[in-house]
Amino acid sequence: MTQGGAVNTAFKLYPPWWRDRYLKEAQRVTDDLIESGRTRWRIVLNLSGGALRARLTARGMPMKVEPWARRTNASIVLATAPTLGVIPLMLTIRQVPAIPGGSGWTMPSSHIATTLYLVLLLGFVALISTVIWGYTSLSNGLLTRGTNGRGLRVMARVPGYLTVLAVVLVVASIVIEPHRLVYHGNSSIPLNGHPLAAHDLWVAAGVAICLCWLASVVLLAWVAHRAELPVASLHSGTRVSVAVSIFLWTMSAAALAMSTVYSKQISELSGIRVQSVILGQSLLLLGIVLCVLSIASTIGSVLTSRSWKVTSHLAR
Amino acid sequence: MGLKRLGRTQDPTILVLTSLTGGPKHGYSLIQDIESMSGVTMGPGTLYGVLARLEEEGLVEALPAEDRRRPYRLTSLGAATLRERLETISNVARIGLARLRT
Repeated sequence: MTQGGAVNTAFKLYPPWWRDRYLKEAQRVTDDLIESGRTRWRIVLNLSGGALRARLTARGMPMKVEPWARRTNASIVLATAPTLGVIPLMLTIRQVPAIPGGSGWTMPSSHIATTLYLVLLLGFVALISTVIWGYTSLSNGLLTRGTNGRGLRVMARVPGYLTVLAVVLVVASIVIEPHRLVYHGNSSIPLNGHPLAAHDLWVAAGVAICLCWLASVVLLAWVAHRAELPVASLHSGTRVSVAVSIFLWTMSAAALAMSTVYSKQISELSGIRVQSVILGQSLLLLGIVLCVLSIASTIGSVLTSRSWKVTSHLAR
Repeated sequence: MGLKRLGRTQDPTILVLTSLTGGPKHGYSLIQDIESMSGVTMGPGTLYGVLARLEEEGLVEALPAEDRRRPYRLTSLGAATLRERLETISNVARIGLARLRT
């Protein structure tokens, strides 16, 4: 008897160690249940729940270094991957921390908002720095292990090279940008430089960053599936996971607090108030998305810490 | 209806261990036996989650498979653990029933 497509897919959700150990007999039980009249969708739901539990708890997983190291790999990816969602989100922020209007007059709540905005930005900078540190350790680990395929070893370098390229393009763009001369008080005219080329370089830098983002997604997926990393890389990956979760929660808290501050700003100028409420709503949305990403990252870092304990114990 | 309101009272671990007291059984016969014994319809995801946990704790052991059917049997540790657990449940049941009668 052949298994249904959905049933087979549900079995694929299980971790490899589980499939090695239980797949054949579980398939046989499933065949018997279908034959006895049990509905397929109930079996699929039950198997999917079982797969989730098997992945989260790892109960019954053989006490060998390889599967536990692979589990640590995958958990590190789960904990750090939300960063890739944060980068485009942060680019959507187009607000200024002071009350809009440009009159130079600010309310006390604006100072709180300014501080929270700084916390958000500092959290983001810390997050990116942590991820760069993690990436360095990851790529070194991938390159030192001879068992990793050539494709993966090449892929390990790609995000780094693309980041360097983007930085070079941005610097080049700034260098060749025209120096401006103030003319007649308000207007300015280009004194020298290459404005069109500078613009093109900016666009190229943007493309490089986008490609870097895509390459990071591919690299993380690859690492989660089949990479082998030395124990030292797994150790630093564990610390990176915890740090990423902490910075994500910091950013979430800052965004949510900012949304409250902006939503409650009441000004005599109704136009400013409307603008504040809109800012508050968009920041609330940002805060909620950041919270979801933080939860995913926290689950990943908790799993990483547990797996790492077992892996390091077995590797001794 | 009343039992449903109380929620899920049957622990699948106890059900699997109790079913194995009647001798070694493979997955499908475990599911059938549990259903006839307690009315609980267990799925393969739940069953193999429980078996993995029990095997890890040394409470059950797998026997050689025949035609993709692998029987499991209770170990002596599993029997002792189950006895202890059932005695506790039985004690609670006895006290509860006695109090209901008064």
